Amino acid sequence: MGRLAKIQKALSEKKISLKEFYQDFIPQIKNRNSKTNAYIEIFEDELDAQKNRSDEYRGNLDGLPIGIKDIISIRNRNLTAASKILTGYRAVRSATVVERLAHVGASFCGRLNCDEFAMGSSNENSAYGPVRNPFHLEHTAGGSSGGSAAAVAAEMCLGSLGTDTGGSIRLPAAFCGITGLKPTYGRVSRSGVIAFASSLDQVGPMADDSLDCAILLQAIAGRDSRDATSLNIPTEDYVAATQKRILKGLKIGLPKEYFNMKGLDPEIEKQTQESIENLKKAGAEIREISLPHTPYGIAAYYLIATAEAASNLARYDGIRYGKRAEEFDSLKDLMIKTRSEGFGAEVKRRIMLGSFSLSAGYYDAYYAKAQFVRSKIQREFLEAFKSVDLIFSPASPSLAFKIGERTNDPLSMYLMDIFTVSVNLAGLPAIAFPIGLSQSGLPIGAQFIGRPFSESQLLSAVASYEEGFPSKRGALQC
Amino acid sequence: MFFDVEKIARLSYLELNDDERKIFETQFSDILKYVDQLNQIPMNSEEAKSMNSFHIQSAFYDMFDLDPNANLRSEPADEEQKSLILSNSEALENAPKSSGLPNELLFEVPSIIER
Amino acid sequence: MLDELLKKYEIVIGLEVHAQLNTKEKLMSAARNDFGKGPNTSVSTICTGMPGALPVLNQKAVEMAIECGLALGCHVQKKSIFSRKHYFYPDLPKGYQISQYDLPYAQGGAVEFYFNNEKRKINLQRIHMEEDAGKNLHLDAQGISLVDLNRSSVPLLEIVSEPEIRSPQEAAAYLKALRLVLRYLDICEGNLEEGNFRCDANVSLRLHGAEKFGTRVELKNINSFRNLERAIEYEALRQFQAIEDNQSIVQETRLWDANKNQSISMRSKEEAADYRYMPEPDLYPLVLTEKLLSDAESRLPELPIQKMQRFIKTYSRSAYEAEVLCASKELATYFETVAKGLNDFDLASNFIMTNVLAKISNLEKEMKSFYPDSGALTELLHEIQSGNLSLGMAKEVFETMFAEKKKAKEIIESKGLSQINDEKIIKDCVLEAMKEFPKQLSDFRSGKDKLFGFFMGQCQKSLKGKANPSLLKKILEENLK
Repeated sequence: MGRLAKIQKALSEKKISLKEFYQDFIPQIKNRNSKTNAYIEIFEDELDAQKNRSDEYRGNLDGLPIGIKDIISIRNRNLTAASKILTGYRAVRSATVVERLAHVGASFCGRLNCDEFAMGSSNENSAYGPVRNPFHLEHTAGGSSGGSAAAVAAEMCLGSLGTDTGGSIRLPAAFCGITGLKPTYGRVSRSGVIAFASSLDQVGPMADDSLDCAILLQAIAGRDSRDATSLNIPTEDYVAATQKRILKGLKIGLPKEYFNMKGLDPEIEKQTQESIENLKKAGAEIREISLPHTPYGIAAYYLIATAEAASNLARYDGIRYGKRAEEFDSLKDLMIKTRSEGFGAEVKRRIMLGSFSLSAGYYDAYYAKAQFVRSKIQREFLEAFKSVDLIFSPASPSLAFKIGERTNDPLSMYLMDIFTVSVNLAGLPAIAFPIGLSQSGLPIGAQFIGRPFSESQLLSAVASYEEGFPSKRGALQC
Repeated sequence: MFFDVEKIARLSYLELNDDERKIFETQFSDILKYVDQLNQIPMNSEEAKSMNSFHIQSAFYDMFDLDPNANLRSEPADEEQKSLILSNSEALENAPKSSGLPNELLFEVPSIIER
Repeated sequence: MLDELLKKYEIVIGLEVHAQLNTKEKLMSAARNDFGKGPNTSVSTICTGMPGALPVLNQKAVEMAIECGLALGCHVQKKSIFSRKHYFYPDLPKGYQISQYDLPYAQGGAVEFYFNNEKRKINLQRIHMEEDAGKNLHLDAQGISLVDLNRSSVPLLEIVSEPEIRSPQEAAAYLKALRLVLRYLDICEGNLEEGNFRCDANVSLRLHGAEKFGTRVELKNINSFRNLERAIEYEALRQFQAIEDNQSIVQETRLWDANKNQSISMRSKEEAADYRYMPEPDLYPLVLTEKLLSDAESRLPELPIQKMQRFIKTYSRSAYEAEVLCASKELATYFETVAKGLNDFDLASNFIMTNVLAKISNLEKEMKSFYPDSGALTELLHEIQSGNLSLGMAKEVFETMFAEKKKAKEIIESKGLSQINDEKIIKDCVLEAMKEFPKQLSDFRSGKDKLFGFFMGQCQKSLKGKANPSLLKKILEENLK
């Protein structure tokens, strides 16, 4: 049982009260945050309110602290996307996912740090400083949902929401040894979530284990009339799915292009092979499959995602909200200075790359070609799922690296997404979960990829693995 | 392909200082070399044209036999969509500069478009 | 000058119309499509470009768009997509406009109308849907502009004609005809002055017989049919002058200044805008199903050109009369009801055109609630047909009906206005008049024919104008001799 489910049980059985919980929790969240920088803002007023409640726990997420990545709107709370350009901005409406969590009683304990506008793989692109890996404070927590992952790992919340555009839930989940699910594109509403790449973004749960993730997914999944890309496909009983044991007889595909990857950290490779043996032990049928366009995934991703990002970030001009430049000599200058002063380097890089790929004369060669490759990648996956039920792979090519190690080489940072981007390109669901620790105590994660709208199956697979092969937890440094 | 950093910055309403420009020039050169591998995948003009109407969810609409117009908004909109309607003060709450009568505020900007 | 121009060149004109659809809600946002009230009071997170806001397409707007496409005979695409058109401007809150670029929902089609009594047809290039932008109020004296986003995301149809229009007058006729179609469909108010119907003109000159088009100039800020004609004429002459002076025509956009009767160049120093069109990822491609199309088809009313042609044929109207009577759907229905009720098309047409229209200054606002309504007018005109009222008397009754909102019969009875058809009464009156005015009688008999009218007038006066005019005339003719 994950921490969230455990606390729910303890509260229901009256073994602990919310007051008692918060008495320990409040100093812990503050203390550990000073070390990890997982939160941009802790909602002390909310924590106090929960601690001082006179009524009892009402079930589900009532009163339980859930962290929200600071690109998801919470009404009347600040919202920065970890960017200077949104300094002081207060959301006027909550995102649908926040509304739905609130509906089942969740208490939002703070705004979680992330890469600026969700652009990054290490949470080093934040205007509020990097998030430190709770197991090794000199190392990154991964990104872009670094804060969401670190907060869960360091017990600074009982679960969190992150977003995943090219791996931004799964990579930090792997770096921090927790479970993170990227739902199918269209499973969860994006309304109220600051858009990075519209056709790739999804909001997903990040938590201690599959059951905790299922609890969160249950609350947020489903059609929303405010998001035309959220589809009218019935949700399932995700919590019940985590009770199912499905590994026996399950056909699991290993994409040969993923396993032939050069530069895969040897410890990750070793652990992944061990996991494959475990799956076999549990009765799964392992098959080699081929996804030939895999090597082109990152290139296609970085053309599509940046084009959509450049487009989505055009609205940040200092006119209706955000931090306006103070000195300017004309309207145009105001907009240019606001953006130039407000955006960080990675965001500027991606905006320019995106503008370039959409610009006159380059559209066909870059943007259209990338979409074409994308359509091929999706087709390959769907074809593969005719012969296998799930696909298995490492979640990250490397362990959580040291802060500052890759910041001067954007391309090397982009290559961190090698196992994750194709999933977003194809719109499929995937889940990252811990499978072990490195010698130095850094978490190692793996990923299952599923058919469209197969979140239940993904959760069942991870739950089955968790039970059969529980992963060692690392030692927190914070 | 040639990446004119200055031109793209202008198009993106970004102003780079000399250092930024230099660094970006090198980085873009590397990145574009990397994405150029997409040239290995041939695409004819028919295929290029069909990308104009490509949507990642088409496969899902087919698989689950969904009505392509199910997500249009009928009038009157439902309560949830209406909940995103803002009052004048909400709309202007975050404006760096605004002016006008209360509940009739407007966003204020300099009138000289460019020098 | 214009004559010289027309000797050498033909004026080539294409019109681009933006018509606001009168849906209740905006195109991509559920905020009200209504800006009678204060600034920034019909807005939502979507049309103000708030972080995290997503567009959702208005189905009613789609239905109206389909009706328009079908009405104009366009090829309506089964699948079309929306595209983002990027540029930075304060009235464009997202930094892009959601429009349609390479896959508009309708292509081809045409606008038909009568011009100089001939049927004319101007082909269309395309129609597409897009969002309107907000409004900027420039307060130059204070160095500020104020932005109102009420209009942001109001649904627009952009209707682009082929460059087949050949004169400023024809352009106005085309625009009026297009407007009338939109009014008949009840999808757009069509008011140039109010801005819910906007028109830009592309103008160039082409040597007679040449194949290649000249460089075209776009004219904006045209706020009336008159100004459309003036602006086009001014531009054609400006281009002509330039060519005569050996200058080249720059492809540019010019703003029409209605006060100064001239256009000003909007040319800026920048390179041409690169809109970086991108298919809109937040919306699924629009699929126009058989059902959507057939439902729209069934909603189509009889269109202006069809109605005019039918009035010409079935009611023997001239092209001019048909145009006048079809100037609004309500007026056309009014005429038809009366015409059928009387089975006298001339009477209906003449009386309506002369008397009813004289009472109306704004057809679109006033016709619906006009009194006498078609039933009441038919009753009135029946009185003429039955001989109970002369035409002159009917006009007076009409005035009273209009002023007092009473029925014809009621007025005729209460005022005792029935026409006198009794020959004996009229004859007595004539004989009286002849006795009373012997001098005029003898003058008439000695050749002063004009005095016939004098006796007509005197008899009508003593009979309080109720004498049947033709009967009076006949009896006068019989007795005055």
